This record gives sequence, C-alpha cells and structure tokens, in this order.
Amino acid sequence: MTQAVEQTAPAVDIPMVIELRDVRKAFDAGSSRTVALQDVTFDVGRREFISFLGPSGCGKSTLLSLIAGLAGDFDGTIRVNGRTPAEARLGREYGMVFQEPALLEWRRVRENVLLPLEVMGMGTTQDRRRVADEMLALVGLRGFERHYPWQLSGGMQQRVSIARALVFEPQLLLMDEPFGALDEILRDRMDLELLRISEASETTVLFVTHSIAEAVFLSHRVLVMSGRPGTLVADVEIDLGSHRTTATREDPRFHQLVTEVRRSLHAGHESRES
Amino acid sequence: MSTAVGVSPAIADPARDRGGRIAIRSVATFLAIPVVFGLIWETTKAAFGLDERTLPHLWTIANHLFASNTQGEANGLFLLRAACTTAGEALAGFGVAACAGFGLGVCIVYMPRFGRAVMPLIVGSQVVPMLALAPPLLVWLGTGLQTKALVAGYIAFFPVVVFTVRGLALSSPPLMALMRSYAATKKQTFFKVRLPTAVPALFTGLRTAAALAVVGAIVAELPLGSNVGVGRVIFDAAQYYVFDPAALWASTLAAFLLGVTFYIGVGAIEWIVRRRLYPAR
Repeated sequence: MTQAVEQTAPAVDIPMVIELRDVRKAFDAGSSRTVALQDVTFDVGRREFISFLGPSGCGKSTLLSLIAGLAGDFDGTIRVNGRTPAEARLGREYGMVFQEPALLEWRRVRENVLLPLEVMGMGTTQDRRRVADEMLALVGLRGFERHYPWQLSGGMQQRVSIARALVFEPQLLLMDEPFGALDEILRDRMDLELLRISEASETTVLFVTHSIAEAVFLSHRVLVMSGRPGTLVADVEIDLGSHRTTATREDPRFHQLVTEVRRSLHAGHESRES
Repeated sequence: MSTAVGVSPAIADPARDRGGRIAIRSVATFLAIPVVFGLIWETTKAAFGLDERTLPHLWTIANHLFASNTQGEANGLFLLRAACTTAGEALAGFGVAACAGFGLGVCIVYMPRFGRAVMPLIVGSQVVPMLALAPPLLVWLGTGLQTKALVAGYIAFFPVVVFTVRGLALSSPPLMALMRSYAATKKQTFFKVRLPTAVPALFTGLRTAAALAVVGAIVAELPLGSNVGVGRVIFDAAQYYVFDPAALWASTLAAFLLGVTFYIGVGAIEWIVRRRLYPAR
C-alpha cells in the first residue's frame, strides 16, 4: 500500500509551506472508534497547487480541516509554515473556501468580503473598502459590490467567497470542493479563473475535489486517496507546464495524466475491497 | 478581464412595486375575516333561534358600548381606559419576558451543561397554575403594576427562550467554521453571524410572547384585585352575565382587540428590523 506512494523529492530551495508526518485521525462513534485517516505523509512547497482526489468519505475534507486547525485532536505531525495548525489558525495564515459560498445574506457583496478584515481589525475603513474592491475586481465581480448575495448566480457567489478568502492576503488557500455544486460548463470556467487568481495572488492552494479532470487541470501535483481509513495511494506530478488554457484539456498529455490518475484511484479502491 | 456570468448589474426589481399591492390585499383579507365571522354569528343565532342570553345580537353588544354606565361614562370609553391599564401591565410584562427570555436563551446556547439542566425547569414553570402563585406574589409585591407585569412576564418568557435557542442554533456550520478560521472572538461570532441569523426566529418568539403577555396581565388582574383593567371588567361582567350578556361579550372583545394590537405592534417592529437587515427583499 504505502509502496504505491510515489514521493516526489522537493527541490531544496523551495521552502515547505505544509509538512505532514504519519498523520492519523480517529473519531469516536459511540462505543467504537472509526479511523478516518491513517499514515498520511506529504509536503507542499510554496506556491504549489495541490489537489486531493478520492471517493466520497475517504477523509479528504477531514484532512483539510486538520490542516486548518478546525478538526481537533490527531496523531502525528502537521506543520503549516513551521507552526502547528492551531497556531496557524490563530495567526490567520490561511483563507478557506467551502462547497457552499457561506455568505452573510444580510450583507452586500462588498461587506461580505470585508468580514475577515473587520474580524481581524485590519486597516482603516477606507483601506478595507479599497482592498475589498480590488479583490472583487480580481475575481471578475467589478460592478457587483453593492449587490446582495441572493441577486447573484451560484458561480458568482462562489467568486465572492474566494475574494473573501484572499482579502487578508493569506499565503495559503484551503478549498473544500469549492465548485462541487456547479454545473460542468461553469466549473470549467471557474477552474480557469482560479488558476489566474492563484497566480495573481501568489498563494499556495490545497484543493479537495472528486473530479479527476479538474484535479489534473488545476494542479502541480494530485494526491490520490483511498477510503476507510483514508490514506494516500499515489502522488502524481502533473507536468502540463505552468500556463494552462482551455486548449490544455485537449492536450494528449492531459488525457494520459487523467488515465494515470484514474488508474491509481481505482487501484487504491480495489486493494481496499480485497 | 472576464465577463461575469448570470445576472447583470442593472437588475430590475419587480418585487418592489408588487409589495404595495400585496400589502393592500393583506389588509383587505384582514378586514374581511371579521365580516365573515359576524355573518356566521348572526346566521347561527337565527338558525338555532338562540335567545339574547345564549348569544346576543352583535348590535346589542355595539349598543352596550355606546350606553352610559352608572358613573355616566360610555361603556366603550370605560373599556378603553381599562384596556389602557391592562396594556401598560402587559407591555411591562412583555419587556420582562423579552429581556429575561433572550438572556436565558443566550446562556442556554453558550453554556450547554447549564442549558440541559435548566430546560426541564423552564418547561415545568409553565405548568404551575397562576392561581397558586398569586397569593404569595400579592404578599411579596402588593397589588400594583409590578406584580401584574411579573405575572405577564412569567407567562410570556417561555416562547422567547425557545425561539432564541432555536434561532441561535441556525447558523450554518461552514459559516461557524469560517469564523473560527479567522480566530474570531465569541462576541464577534455572536454579533456578526449568530444574532442576525436568529432574527426571524427571534421575532416568532416575540410575537407569541406579545399575545401571552396580554393573557398574563388579564389573568393577573382576576385574583390580584386592582385598578380597573380588562381582566377585572371581565370578572365583574361574568358575575352578571345572566342579566347583561352584552357587557361580558363587549369586555371580551376589548381583551381580544388588545391581544391583536400587541401582535401587530411586534409585527411592525419586526418589519422595520427586517427591512434594515434585508433591504430591497
């Protein structure tokens, strides 16, 4: 099982943003304990885009919550910028995006983006407004500052939540199936937008998805997980270059990589079944 | 850079002018119901041949309102003054219920162990008959407004507690996780997320409490003796029902209208708060 994990040796000069060593997470379920994650070890370098791919219930969301310091106790070691997840959370080192936009429906788009700045007490009122409007322009929502969330489509609402996650300039973006609720056409567009945004904002991205094509298209590396208990079964490097466009999806190399990832996904699944 | 998908910025809002027409229709329906009720009343009386003692004509009740009592004051005016007295008691009681109920609800949500322990006691408090509590209250606090406000508050606080707890629990888990990821303080999460989310539920509790506060004030007037409030008038009229049924029905109507007024009053406050929270919706 563990032999299947291909450890890519990180280049020496890239500082590690995230390091996980033998992470294990178990939940109490009544009298028994369910092991959600086991033997999870990997590193993420600065400005890397990493996708976690796996079947539903394989613990990929739990893994993200652990890194975010939101999931309580675990065994093993997690380091985020050299600190524990709890310290990183208190240091406000990451922005987070969920599957649902989770916007405050009584606030206008701009005020939604301002929320983290208000909570963190950053900047003057005018600074905040300027930064929020810049961020909204980055996600393509210039002109929608004074709208209410219910006046926007699902994709636009998710852009607002991305702007909100980036507005306090964290170096790390944690995304838990952010486009899972969108249709495929819109999802493809949002993926392109996300690449542009993550490049412009120079953030490291950890991205949870169960779409193979999406993971391959977006990532520098795809970490394939198997379920119950969740563990890494493959670490696939995606050598599609740094500039990706709609044409990338028609590249033969793209299809090879999709096949490779699919095989390791199924291999992991079957070894579990037997 | 990129064209936005979906709604254009210059979105027309037809809900705005539709709102006016809906309001007019609501008021019309609101006024139509008493008319229908009156028709049923008179039809029943005619169909079963009920005498004035069993069910007086509506106009007999109306006449009673305009007739003068022994002090030479119109019964309607007398009832209005009584209603004002009761309204004062109920309003004070509602204030007590809103503050105590909300405070208790917040404590229950933020101190789960305390909440689990206190909830059965709160439910139990609603089972105790007022009749049992009135004598000691009378001895402790006298017969003034404070006693009746306390009784009204005691009866009315229950739905405020229940709906405060319910409302504060409605915040979506991702939003709560988001606030934790910002390392937000409990106070920030409360005022920026939990309280605004709870507003609709909170007002459901307050509207119920408004009606209950009136019930409480009226009930408190019966055994507690008092300046003349609606409860007292009903109590007296009940003694002479056989001789003057219209008097009892008229005072009952006054109590009913008082309850409706309170309910509408809270509804108006809710409307203002909601419009500030959700403008243009």
